Amino acid sequence: MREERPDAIIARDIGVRYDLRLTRHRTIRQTVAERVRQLALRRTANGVPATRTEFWALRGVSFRLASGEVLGVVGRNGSGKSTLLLTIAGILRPDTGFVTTAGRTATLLTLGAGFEPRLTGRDNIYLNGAYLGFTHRKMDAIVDEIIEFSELGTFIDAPVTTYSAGMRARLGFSIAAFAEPDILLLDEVLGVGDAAFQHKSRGKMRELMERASALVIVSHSTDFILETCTRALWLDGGTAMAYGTPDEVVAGYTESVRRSRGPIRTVFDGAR
Amino acid sequence: MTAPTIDATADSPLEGRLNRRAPLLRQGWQELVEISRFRPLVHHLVSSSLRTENAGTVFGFLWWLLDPLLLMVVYVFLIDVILRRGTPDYPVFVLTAVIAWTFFAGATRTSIGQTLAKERLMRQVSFPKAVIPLAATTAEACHFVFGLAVLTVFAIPFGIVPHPVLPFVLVVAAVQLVLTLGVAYLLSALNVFFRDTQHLAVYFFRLWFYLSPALYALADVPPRFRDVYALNPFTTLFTSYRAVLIEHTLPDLSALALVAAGSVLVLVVGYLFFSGTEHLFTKLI
Repeated sequence: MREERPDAIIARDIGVRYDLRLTRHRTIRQTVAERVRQLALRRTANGVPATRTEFWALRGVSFRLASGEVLGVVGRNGSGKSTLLLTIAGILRPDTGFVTTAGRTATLLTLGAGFEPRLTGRDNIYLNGAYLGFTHRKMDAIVDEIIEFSELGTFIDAPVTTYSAGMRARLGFSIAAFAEPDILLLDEVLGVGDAAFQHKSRGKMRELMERASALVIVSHSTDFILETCTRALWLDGGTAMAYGTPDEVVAGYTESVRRSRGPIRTVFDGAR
Repeated sequence: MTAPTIDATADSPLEGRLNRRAPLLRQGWQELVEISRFRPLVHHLVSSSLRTENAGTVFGFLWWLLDPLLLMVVYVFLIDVILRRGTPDYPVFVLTAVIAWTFFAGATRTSIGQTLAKERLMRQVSFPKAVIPLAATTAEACHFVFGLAVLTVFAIPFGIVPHPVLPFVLVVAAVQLVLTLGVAYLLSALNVFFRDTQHLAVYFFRLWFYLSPALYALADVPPRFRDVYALNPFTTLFTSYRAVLIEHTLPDLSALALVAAGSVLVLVVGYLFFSGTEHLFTKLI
């Protein structure tokens, strides 16, 4: 019953493996090790016990998203939702399978990540644009819009070190918003700046969502998924539990959350 | 609820891209095309590092001049004044090596540092990571070219006036650039996995500098060590720089060609190691 629209994203059998021996920063290592221990207790969804040296953040995930669709990804913490976004964005290379996208992808995670504090806001707009692969000419064309949207006024020619956290976030959002990706990837819908700017950024976000050829949104809010998305994907332990209409997928997910509440508590009680 | 599979029979333009695993050479070519698409990024990284590196210092850009000159003063004091082993043009002699070595060691050090510093960014934006060592090395190359200009002026009071053979120094510099970039790629990638690399590199480079004819001439080296010295690319590089800049003759071209070939090999190996491991950078930490 699928309409004949071109594909925006095809993911086939993607798996992302973390080699725990390569992970050295203690806090994260502990986090991942913790996760592995949980997995070893529960076993992964496909019945393979996780070993201590590797951890599959995603395993055998396949889906196909037509352009014009909005995909919502649901799942518990650590189910691989963010890993999936990073893989679609091309930041993580899948260890198995393939993912292809039609057009440029961008995450709004990027807010101000590439700022060079000693450069001015204006220089940082150009630098950020360069990270996104834009030419100088393209940036010349949009730099004024970005500055206006950020409401930084004359501060734009002051070094970014002198900015408050809110000013940085506003500049970061403005750059990301005017980058206009074909496929927009959102990890939770975020609020930036004061109430007025939040209102404005939400408006801009809606505009981006309308203009992008496809969207992938990770959210804990099932209501948001039901409202906004046209497709939904449920991840658990790195594997896809269901892919389909938001109604069906969210129903399955909430049912499983309800059912699993008891057993998890028992495990913790037993450990104490 | 539909099963999480995709319809493999459907015809789609994306489908064609999906299964094609490019052969190695083609993949390498695609990577180079991608890096060249990010030329503006290299440009911005270079200009921002050149503009901000001396921010907050009293002397500012004067440090481009002061850095090599002060280092030269230290060596002249040590070798010429204390040990009395210098020649009349010893300051020019040692400055040549100091400038060239600063380029090599500085580019490698900043490449290692920048590759680590950009790690957070790498996990948020998808861009060819190979531009980082490239930009760091290019910024140091700018210092180097500036240093060469200073050197030619500095040499005039020593009776070494500019000569038509001088532009040949750029050929020697190009060979060193290739070698430097190769080593920068290799060590930058290695350091992501083994942070010990940056500490070991400091001592290794210092030893390498003293074992190269930088503070002394190759002629001062006992003949039985000359064969070993010939294996060091900086023996040829330092000697070539001095031939062009001080003696105003063409360097030993066959030795330089050999070093050039070796440098290309180092660059290919270094780049392949970097590009082969860069997808793991975002999985660390």
